[in-house]
Amino acid sequence: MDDDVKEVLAALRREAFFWRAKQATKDQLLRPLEDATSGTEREAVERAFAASGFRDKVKAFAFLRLRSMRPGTQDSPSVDWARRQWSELLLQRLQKLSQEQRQPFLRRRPKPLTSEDNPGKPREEEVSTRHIVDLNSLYNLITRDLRTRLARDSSNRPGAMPALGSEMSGIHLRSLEELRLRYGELAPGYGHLGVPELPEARDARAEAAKLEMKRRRLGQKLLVNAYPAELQILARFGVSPSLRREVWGACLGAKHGAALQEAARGICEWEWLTDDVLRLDVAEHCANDVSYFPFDELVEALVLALSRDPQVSKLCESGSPQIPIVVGEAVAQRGPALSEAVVKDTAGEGEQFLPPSGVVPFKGFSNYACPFAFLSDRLETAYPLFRGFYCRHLSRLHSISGQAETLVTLCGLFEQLTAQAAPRAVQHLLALDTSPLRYAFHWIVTGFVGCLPAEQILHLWDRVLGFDSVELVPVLAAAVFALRARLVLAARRQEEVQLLFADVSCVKAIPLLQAFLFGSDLGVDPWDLFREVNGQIPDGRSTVLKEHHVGSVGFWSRSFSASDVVAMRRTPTRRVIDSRQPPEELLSPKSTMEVLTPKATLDPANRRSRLHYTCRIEDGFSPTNFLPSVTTPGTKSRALDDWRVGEGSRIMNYLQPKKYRPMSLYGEAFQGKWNTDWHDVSHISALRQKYPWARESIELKALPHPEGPNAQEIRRNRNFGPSHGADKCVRGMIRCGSLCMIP
Amino acid sequence: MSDQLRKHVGSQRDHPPWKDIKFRCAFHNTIYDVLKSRGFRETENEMDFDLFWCDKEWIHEVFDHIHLQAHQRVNHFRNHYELTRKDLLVKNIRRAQRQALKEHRCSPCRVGPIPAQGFAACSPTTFVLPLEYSMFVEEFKKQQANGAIWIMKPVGKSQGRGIFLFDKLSQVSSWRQDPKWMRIQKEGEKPKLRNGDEEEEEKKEAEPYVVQRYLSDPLLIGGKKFDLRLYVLVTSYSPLTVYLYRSGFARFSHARFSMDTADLSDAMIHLTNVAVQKHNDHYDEKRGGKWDLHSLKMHLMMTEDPKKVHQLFEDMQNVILFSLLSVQKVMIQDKHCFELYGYDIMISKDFKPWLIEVNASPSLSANTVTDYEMKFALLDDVLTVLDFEKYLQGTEDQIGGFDVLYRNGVRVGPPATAAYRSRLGCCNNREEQLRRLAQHLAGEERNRTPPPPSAVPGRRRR
Repeated sequence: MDDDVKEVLAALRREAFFWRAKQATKDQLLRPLEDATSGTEREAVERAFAASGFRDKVKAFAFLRLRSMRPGTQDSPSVDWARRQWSELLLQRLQKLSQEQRQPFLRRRPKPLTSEDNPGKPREEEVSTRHIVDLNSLYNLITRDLRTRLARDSSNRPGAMPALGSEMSGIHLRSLEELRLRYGELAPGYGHLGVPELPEARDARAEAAKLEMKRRRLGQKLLVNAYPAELQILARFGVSPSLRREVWGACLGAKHGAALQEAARGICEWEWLTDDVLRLDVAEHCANDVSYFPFDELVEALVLALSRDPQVSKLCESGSPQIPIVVGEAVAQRGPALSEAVVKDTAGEGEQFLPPSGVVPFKGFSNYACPFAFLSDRLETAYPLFRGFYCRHLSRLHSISGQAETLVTLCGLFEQLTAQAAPRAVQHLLALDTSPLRYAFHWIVTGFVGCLPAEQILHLWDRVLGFDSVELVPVLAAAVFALRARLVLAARRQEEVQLLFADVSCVKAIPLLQAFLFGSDLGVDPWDLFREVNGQIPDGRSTVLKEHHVGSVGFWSRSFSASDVVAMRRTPTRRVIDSRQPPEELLSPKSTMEVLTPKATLDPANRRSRLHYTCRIEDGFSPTNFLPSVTTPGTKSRALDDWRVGEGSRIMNYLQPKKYRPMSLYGEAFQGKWNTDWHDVSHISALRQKYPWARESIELKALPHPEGPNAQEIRRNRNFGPSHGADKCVRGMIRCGSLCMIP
Repeated sequence: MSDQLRKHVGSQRDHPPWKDIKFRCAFHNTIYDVLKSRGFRETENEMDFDLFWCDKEWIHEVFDHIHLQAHQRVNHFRNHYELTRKDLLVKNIRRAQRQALKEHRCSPCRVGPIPAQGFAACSPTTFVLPLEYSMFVEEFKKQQANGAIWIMKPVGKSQGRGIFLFDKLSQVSSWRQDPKWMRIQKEGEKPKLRNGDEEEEEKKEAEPYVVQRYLSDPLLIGGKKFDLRLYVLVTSYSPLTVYLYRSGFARFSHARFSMDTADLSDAMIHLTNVAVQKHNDHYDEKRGGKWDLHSLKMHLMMTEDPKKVHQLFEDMQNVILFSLLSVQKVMIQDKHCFELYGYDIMISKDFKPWLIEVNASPSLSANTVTDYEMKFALLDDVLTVLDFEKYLQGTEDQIGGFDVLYRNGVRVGPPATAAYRSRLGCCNNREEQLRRLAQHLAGEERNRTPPPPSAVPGRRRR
């Protein structure tokens, strides 16, 4: 017998339901039936086993068990070095934060949360904390530090920077052609949920609804057996939203209850240093997201529970995302001391990880939990899904290790794909002293959460689950890059490139993936490919596939060109200021880029002036804003700045002209009422309108909100209103925590 | 997105139709931008306009004293308050309910457009105070055993001003007295000696309020309460023509919902108005607490039974239609008028929609970028439906994001075979649809033989 099978059997023997199944089979055998006598003894047992109803459960268990026994690959020394480096950095930052906050790693909550404390209400006291580490440092570690070290180590090819991924860990990265074969089921022609209907079809909406219903019925049928392998194939074509929770749950083998119980233990009494950081992270990311803001409390609970779940580091399939930081076990009243923390692989006796999950959260970590809150709205059902999905897929997105499909390899795959699909754009970026990965890094690390709308995320993650691989995330990232490649070529500065990729929320994930993988502009006839893939499907899949084969619906010439996908969600009538999105005019490299670029004629003396950008140094990384915030030149230029010498002494400036003064056509120029009338400052206002956020800090905050006082003013004056927060009113007294002091 | 129509249809004409259209606009927000972007011209002239987007006051003060040309449109009906004032709406709905019951009794086999129960389900139990105080007390005592909570809303105020919740009769005792005009009739002429006191009393005079059974078990999302804002366009009341916009949004309250008596006075929990929520410490202007209707539907589809969700959206559509049908007879039809209503609807735990209020001038100023986009698209589609440029044929079932809900005395809806009964909350495919519509209309226009220039009806040439 095979070793694997032996091991699965051994694991099966440890499960309670195995023995119940055995018992049930025995009962079934002993029951007198006519046809039980026919056939051999083995067949009879098989029949009885099937009749006992435990077959599906045993099958599912064996599948999940086999899945978890996949061999891992060996770490390469350089990646190992980076892994250790990352953990050391985290430890350093944690110690620093602990000193700043004057808070030990673990402490007993000063005032334990109890049920009568009204947990529903947000706690009033302000906590100030900061993020431990942001993605910039991870990015730098992966690209700069790791590469330089590799270059130094190998040293046989001086000068050449080694590519990420393949050269580091010897893992083969799939090329575009291999990806097409691997993700053949993504090909257009199969009926996919999440692909908008073709506009040509007359009753396209009804078709889509029909497909959805068909898929739901199929899903319900498959859910009866709940065999993960079948459900995964179902998920490759998209899961109907009403079944998503169950299908994901079955695919992940997530069990309810116990996991959450364990994780939530001690959440009210003990407080880790990372708790407040996570809360801050939720407040910054989830609570500010248009799709997820109703769920901020749920997401907070999910993330906190995950960080306290000691199982996580064991369950993660690619190994713990980082080398855990180990601290001593908490003694009765006080937590472990600062000096005891070390970076090591396993926790010994009387030691535990910091935090118990072993994953120190980076900025943006809470993004992972958002779609699960959207998916289920209840902590008990959301948490097993979240933990299962995190351990299987999401943890790979930020773990530095030599395993296949971890961060380094994914980044490598992204670089390889962009180089293959849009080589000129990549070269252009390199010439601008930046790289495509710089803009795509946070897409990859957060799995596109916060960058795409919730629906698209769920569609993408359906496929991730179905194909059992996170490779699709960098593939989609490369597709987005290729989509905007033409615009990248038109960009002349790093900031313009940043602007291009600042908002990708109009992207439809699945059609774009299809276009990228199977688009005819890549020189492959998708139908050839489709047939090729169809021939290769093994038997097990074909039963499911036959049901899905809606491919004969219509002729598919090519799915969407880049501009189609851009235009899909956009209102062309929207003005430039209305969106953070680069407008459609950007598609032609002429118009807006010229507006962006200062003309030499602006300068009266015809000097060439360089524009200065000031970067505030902060830990200002957010998923939507990769580079430190940039102030545009538009903020500075007022009309008077461009006055000619002597303009101020013109008599017309001191007369109040009539508002509607008739303009003379002969010689005399119209002198308007407003300063801006003298010069054409439309370029300035265009710039200002284009970057509303850039002037926000200077102008908008000072102005009153047009609809009334702004939040800041209200907060300042809140004690004066009898209607709002009158109990908080401490007139004339100084408030210090819960005490009121008389000055 | 009207530029698709402009490109395909308008450009075929020898004179661009949008150039002739003059508008006045009392607001300087999204609607102004939309009107500008369509290429209409703003006019200063009081009377020479094709479209006047006015405020409600103008309608009350000026509209009765002027005469409008056939082509001129105004965005309010003369007595829109029949629908939009809380007490009148209650009155109208009740009357329609009685009438439907009567008709039903007279001819039970007749299949009317709306069953009588429909009207009953429209709106929670409501009384007008102080007029119906005694009726209210009766109902209050009946419901007290269930621990019912009631909400008081001033009739004439908006944005959550003056609203409070109560569960004891003593809290509304000041509404017990008769209204002032009745008392004056009773007491006859009284010498006005103490002027100061008179004024004082006048201030204490109970303001007209409506009292409603408070929905104590609303549907919660993420533990928070929300209400929906839907947009409905009525272009005519006889025959009733109703368009329903696919998108809308849910407004969330900031704090976790609870029905504790201690929290009854906390406006943050119970009121979802933006004007109230803005005062919250943690209010964030960037997201504005608004959730897209499509997100809501998607979330509900994932967490609940899809059949129930479809039913809910159909019910919402019904509630809207019922309320409009109940005021149809009362409303003074005027072919110059149209109205864009903002419907406030709440959903209870058992997936039943409740009509809270109808606004005749829903807020058109946006607080976020997505909000702006949504409202811009909405208003653009309003103008497309009104069809100043004479693009349309008048038989379209969907124009941009607007679906025809009721036309010529029949409901218009999705095909009977479809799984969903309402297009509300569907993905808003207005761009796609408008493009298709424009191409279709352009084809029609090309096929038509151009009439001789003298026979062109309607449009004045300049």
